[in-house]
Amino acid sequence: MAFQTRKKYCYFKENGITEIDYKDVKLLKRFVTDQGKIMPRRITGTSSKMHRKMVRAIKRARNIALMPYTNISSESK
Amino acid sequence: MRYYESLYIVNSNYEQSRINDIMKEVENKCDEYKLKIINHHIWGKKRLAYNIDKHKYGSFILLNFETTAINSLQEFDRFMILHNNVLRNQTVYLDKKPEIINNDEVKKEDPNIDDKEKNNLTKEAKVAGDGIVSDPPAKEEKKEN
Repeated sequence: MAFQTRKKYCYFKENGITEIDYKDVKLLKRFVTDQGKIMPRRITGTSSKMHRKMVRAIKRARNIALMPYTNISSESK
Repeated sequence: MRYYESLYIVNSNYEQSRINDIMKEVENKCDEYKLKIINHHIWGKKRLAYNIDKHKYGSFILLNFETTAINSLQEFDRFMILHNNVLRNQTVYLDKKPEIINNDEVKKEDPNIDDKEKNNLTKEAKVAGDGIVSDPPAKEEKKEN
Protein backbone atom coordinates (compact mmCIF):
# COMPACT_ATOMS: atom_id res chain seq x y z
CA MET A 1 0.00 0.00 0.00
CA ALA A 2 1.51 3.23 -1.10
CA PHE A 3 1.30 6.33 1.08
CA GLN A 4 0.20 9.55 -0.50
CA THR A 5 2.51 12.41 0.37
CA ARG A 6 1.26 15.99 0.55
CA LYS A 7 2.73 18.07 -2.22
CA LYS A 8 5.14 20.68 -0.91
CA TYR A 9 5.02 24.25 -2.15
CA CYS A 10 6.93 27.45 -1.61
CA TYR A 11 4.92 29.59 0.82
CA PHE A 12 6.50 32.81 -0.44
CA LYS A 13 5.87 32.06 -4.11
CA GLU A 14 2.29 31.07 -3.36
CA ASN A 15 1.61 34.35 -1.54
CA GLY A 16 3.60 36.55 -3.90
CA ILE A 17 6.23 37.52 -1.32
CA THR A 18 9.52 38.58 -2.88
CA GLU A 19 11.24 40.39 -0.02
CA ILE A 20 11.37 39.20 3.59
CA ASP A 21 11.63 41.76 6.38
CA TYR A 22 13.41 40.67 9.57
CA LYS A 23 10.90 42.69 11.62
CA ASP A 24 8.01 40.51 10.40
CA VAL A 25 8.29 38.00 13.23
CA LYS A 26 4.81 36.56 12.65
CA LEU A 27 5.86 35.34 9.20
CA LEU A 28 9.28 34.10 10.26
CA LYS A 29 7.86 32.06 13.17
CA ARG A 30 6.28 29.72 10.62
CA PHE A 31 9.73 28.54 9.59
CA VAL A 32 11.26 27.75 12.98
CA THR A 33 10.60 24.80 15.27
CA ASP A 34 9.32 25.05 18.85
CA GLN A 35 12.93 24.94 19.95
CA GLY A 36 13.70 27.96 17.79
CA LYS A 37 15.70 26.09 15.16
CA ILE A 38 15.37 26.99 11.49
CA MET A 39 13.44 24.27 9.66
CA PRO A 40 15.14 22.64 6.66
CA ARG A 41 13.99 23.18 3.11
CA ARG A 42 13.00 19.55 2.68
CA ILE A 43 10.29 20.07 5.33
CA THR A 44 9.06 23.60 4.57
CA GLY A 45 9.25 23.20 0.78
CA THR A 46 10.45 26.77 0.20
CA SER A 47 12.49 27.54 -2.89
CA SER A 48 16.25 27.76 -2.53
CA LYS A 49 16.34 31.48 -3.21
CA MET A 50 13.65 32.35 -0.70
CA HIS A 51 15.06 29.96 1.90
CA ARG A 52 18.36 31.84 1.83
CA LYS A 53 16.52 35.16 2.26
CA MET A 54 14.42 33.71 5.06
CA VAL A 55 17.47 32.36 6.92
CA ARG A 56 19.14 35.77 6.73
CA ALA A 57 15.98 37.45 8.08
CA ILE A 58 15.71 34.98 10.98
CA LYS A 59 19.36 35.51 11.93
CA ARG A 60 18.87 39.28 11.89
CA ALA A 61 15.74 38.95 14.04
CA ARG A 62 17.68 36.79 16.51
CA ASN A 63 20.47 39.35 16.76
CA ILE A 64 18.07 42.15 17.70
CA ALA A 65 16.17 39.92 20.19
CA LEU A 66 12.95 39.70 18.19
CA MET A 67 13.34 35.93 17.92
CA PRO A 68 15.06 33.48 20.27
CA TYR A 69 18.25 31.61 19.46
CA THR A 70 16.83 28.71 21.43
CA ASN A 71 13.72 28.12 23.52
CA ILE A 72 15.19 25.42 25.76
CA SER A 73 16.45 27.74 28.51
CA SER A 74 13.21 29.73 28.79
CA GLU A 75 11.11 26.57 29.10
CA SER A 76 13.25 25.02 31.80
CA LYS A 77 13.20 28.18 34.03
CA MET B 1 23.18 57.00 -2.51
CA ARG B 2 22.70 54.03 -0.21
CA TYR B 3 19.85 53.52 2.19
CA TYR B 4 20.21 51.95 5.61
CA GLU B 5 17.93 50.93 8.44
CA SER B 6 19.08 50.97 12.03
CA LEU B 7 16.99 49.39 14.78
CA TYR B 8 18.09 49.95 18.35
CA ILE B 9 16.71 48.97 21.74
CA VAL B 10 16.43 51.35 24.68
CA ASN B 11 15.51 50.51 28.27
CA SER B 12 11.70 50.29 28.45
CA ASN B 13 11.64 51.83 31.95
CA TYR B 14 12.68 55.20 30.58
CA GLU B 15 10.09 57.97 30.36
CA GLN B 16 9.08 59.42 27.02
CA SER B 17 11.12 62.58 27.60
CA ARG B 18 14.26 60.55 28.28
CA ILE B 19 13.73 58.46 25.13
CA ASN B 20 13.29 61.70 23.17
CA ASP B 21 16.60 62.95 24.57
CA ILE B 22 18.34 59.77 23.42
CA MET B 23 16.75 60.10 19.98
CA LYS B 24 17.93 63.71 19.75
CA GLU B 25 21.42 62.63 20.73
CA VAL B 26 21.40 60.02 17.94
CA GLU B 27 20.09 62.59 15.45
CA ASN B 28 22.85 65.03 16.38
CA LYS B 29 25.41 62.29 15.87
CA CYS B 30 23.87 61.49 12.48
CA ASP B 31 24.29 65.14 11.46
CA GLU B 32 27.89 65.04 12.63
CA TYR B 33 28.60 61.96 10.51
CA LYS B 34 26.63 63.39 7.57
CA LEU B 35 23.92 60.75 7.60
CA LYS B 36 20.69 62.10 6.13
CA ILE B 37 17.77 60.93 8.28
CA ILE B 38 14.62 59.75 6.46
CA ASN B 39 12.59 58.26 9.32
CA HIS B 40 13.19 58.20 13.05
CA HIS B 41 10.42 56.99 15.31
CA ILE B 42 9.58 54.64 18.17
CA TRP B 43 8.56 51.28 16.75
CA GLY B 44 7.09 50.03 20.01
CA LYS B 45 7.67 48.47 23.38
CA LYS B 46 8.12 44.76 23.06
CA ARG B 47 9.11 41.75 25.09
CA LEU B 48 12.62 40.63 24.17
CA ALA B 49 13.09 37.06 22.98
CA TYR B 50 15.96 36.73 25.46
CA ASN B 51 17.25 38.88 28.30
CA ILE B 52 19.73 41.62 27.42
CA ASP B 53 21.56 43.02 30.45
CA LYS B 54 18.82 41.49 32.64
CA HIS B 55 16.10 43.40 30.75
CA LYS B 56 13.02 41.48 29.63
CA TYR B 57 11.36 44.37 27.75
CA GLY B 58 12.71 47.06 25.49
CA SER B 59 11.65 50.10 23.49
CA PHE B 60 12.51 49.57 19.83
CA ILE B 61 13.43 52.68 17.86
CA LEU B 62 13.65 52.63 14.08
CA LEU B 63 15.99 54.91 12.15
CA ASN B 64 16.19 55.11 8.36
CA PHE B 65 18.95 57.14 6.78
CA GLU B 66 20.92 57.57 3.58
CA THR B 67 24.63 58.14 3.06
CA THR B 68 27.47 57.59 0.65
CA ALA B 69 30.31 57.54 3.18
CA ILE B 70 31.01 54.05 4.51
CA ASN B 71 33.60 55.28 7.02
CA SER B 72 31.06 57.44 8.80
CA LEU B 73 28.78 54.40 8.98
CA GLN B 74 31.41 52.49 10.91
CA GLU B 75 31.90 55.43 13.27
CA PHE B 76 28.14 55.67 13.80
CA ASP B 77 27.99 51.95 14.59
CA ARG B 78 30.83 52.39 17.07
CA PHE B 79 28.95 55.28 18.71
CA MET B 80 25.83 53.14 19.09
CA ILE B 81 27.75 50.24 20.60
CA LEU B 82 29.44 52.50 23.15
CA HIS B 83 26.22 54.35 24.03
CA ASN B 84 25.22 53.37 27.57
CA ASN B 85 21.46 53.73 27.04
CA VAL B 86 21.33 51.58 23.91
CA LEU B 87 20.97 47.91 24.82
CA ARG B 88 21.42 46.55 21.29
CA ASN B 89 21.57 47.99 17.79
CA GLN B 90 21.60 46.62 14.27
CA THR B 91 22.13 48.44 10.99
CA VAL B 92 21.16 46.78 7.72
CA TYR B 93 21.43 47.80 4.08
CA LEU B 94 18.18 48.43 2.22
CA ASP B 95 17.65 47.69 -1.47
CA LYS B 96 14.96 50.33 -1.95
CA LYS B 97 14.34 53.78 -0.58
CA PRO B 98 12.16 53.45 2.53
CA GLU B 99 8.76 55.12 2.63
CA ILE B 100 8.57 58.30 4.66
CA ILE B 101 6.31 57.70 7.65
CA ASN B 102 4.41 60.59 9.22
CA ASN B 103 4.22 60.96 12.98
CA ASP B 104 0.42 60.49 12.87
CA GLU B 105 0.81 57.03 11.34
CA VAL B 106 3.33 56.05 14.01
CA LYS B 107 0.89 56.87 16.80
CA LYS B 108 -1.56 54.28 15.51
CA GLU B 109 -1.43 50.96 17.26
CA ASP B 110 1.19 48.53 16.07
CA PRO B 111 -0.54 45.43 14.61
CA ASN B 112 2.53 43.29 15.26
CA ILE B 113 2.04 43.42 19.02
CA ASP B 114 0.03 40.44 20.22
CA ASP B 115 -2.91 40.87 22.58
CA LYS B 116 -1.05 39.04 25.33
CA GLU B 117 1.86 41.46 25.09
CA LYS B 118 -0.54 44.41 25.15
CA ASN B 119 -2.16 43.11 28.33
CA ASN B 120 1.22 42.58 29.95
CA LEU B 121 2.34 46.09 29.04
CA THR B 122 -0.86 47.74 30.34
CA LYS B 123 -0.71 45.79 33.60
CA GLU B 124 2.89 46.83 34.18
CA ALA B 125 2.09 50.44 33.31
CA LYS B 126 -0.63 50.45 35.96
CA VAL B 127 1.76 49.07 38.56
CA ALA B 128 4.56 51.47 37.70
CA GLY B 129 2.29 54.54 37.35
CA ASP B 130 2.78 57.58 35.11
CA GLY B 131 2.63 55.32 32.06
CA ILE B 132 6.15 54.09 32.66
CA VAL B 133 6.51 50.47 31.71
CA SER B 134 8.77 48.51 33.96
CA ASP B 135 10.17 45.02 33.86
CA PRO B 136 7.96 42.58 35.75
CA PRO B 137 9.35 41.47 39.11
CA ALA B 138 11.48 38.37 38.91
CA LYS B 139 9.88 35.17 40.12
CA GLU B 140 11.01 34.04 43.51
CA GLU B 141 13.32 31.13 43.25
CA LYS B 142 12.09 27.94 44.78
CA LYS B 143 13.86 27.03 47.90
CA GLU B 144 15.67 23.77 47.70
CA ASN B 145 14.73 21.30 50.34
